Amino acid sequence: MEALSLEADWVAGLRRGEAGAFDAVFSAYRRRIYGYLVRMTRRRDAAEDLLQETFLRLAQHAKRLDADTRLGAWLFTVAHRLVQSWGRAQAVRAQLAGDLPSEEPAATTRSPLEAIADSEAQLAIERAFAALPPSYREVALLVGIEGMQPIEVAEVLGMRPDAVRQRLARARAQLSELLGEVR
Amino acid sequence: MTNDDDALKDLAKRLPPVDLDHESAQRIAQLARRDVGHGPPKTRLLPILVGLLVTITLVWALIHVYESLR
Repeated sequence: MEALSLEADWVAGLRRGEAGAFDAVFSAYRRRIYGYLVRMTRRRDAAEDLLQETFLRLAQHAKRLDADTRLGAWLFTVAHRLVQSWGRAQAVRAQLAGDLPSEEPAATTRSPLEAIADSEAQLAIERAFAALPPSYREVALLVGIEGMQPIEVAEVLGMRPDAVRQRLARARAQLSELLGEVR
Repeated sequence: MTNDDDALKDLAKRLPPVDLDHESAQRIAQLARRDVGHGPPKTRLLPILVGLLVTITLVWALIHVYESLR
């Protein structure tokens, strides 16, 4: 309840164009949005650019936000759309270069994201999430890390809730295959 | 929320935390907070205006070519 009231205060501040409200929102959501972006793009530089764009859009839309805006859903919706555009641009770039788009880092080296794993178990989980197709990974991250309900994920991704549940079930099945511990 | 979702959450909790460095975070925050409540920067409208001008000019030229050929 307190969190909702705090969020309502931030939205009210943003609607009044207060930079302080923006700072509070940035501080509260920065890690969460960045974590989502870095795990979706698999690249820290791209994630940083998309994080910047996400918060620039928040700043630019601040006065036009509805009073009842749920900032988490709003920010993840923007971040999701940016990831989609980035993915399309990457695919076009790869086609122009005559390569197939590559999602995975080379198996022999650790990606920057994998490098932060401080145990073999963390590394295995990080790799299992990375091995999921992006559409499954996205749903698994939003439910698993963000704790969103499928109906909230559906709102963020612009999908039907049953389609989200289907992707979630497939993501869990693939993770289960890869790790042998999640149903 | 199902047991399966709880199992997924337990697994996701074991992922290493990810964050960007303090300097980059500060840079992004400072850049974005300048735009709070100001709407998109005017420079973003420039390509739209140029595109509109080019389209109008092309249509105008095509109409003139068409009329001169009649």
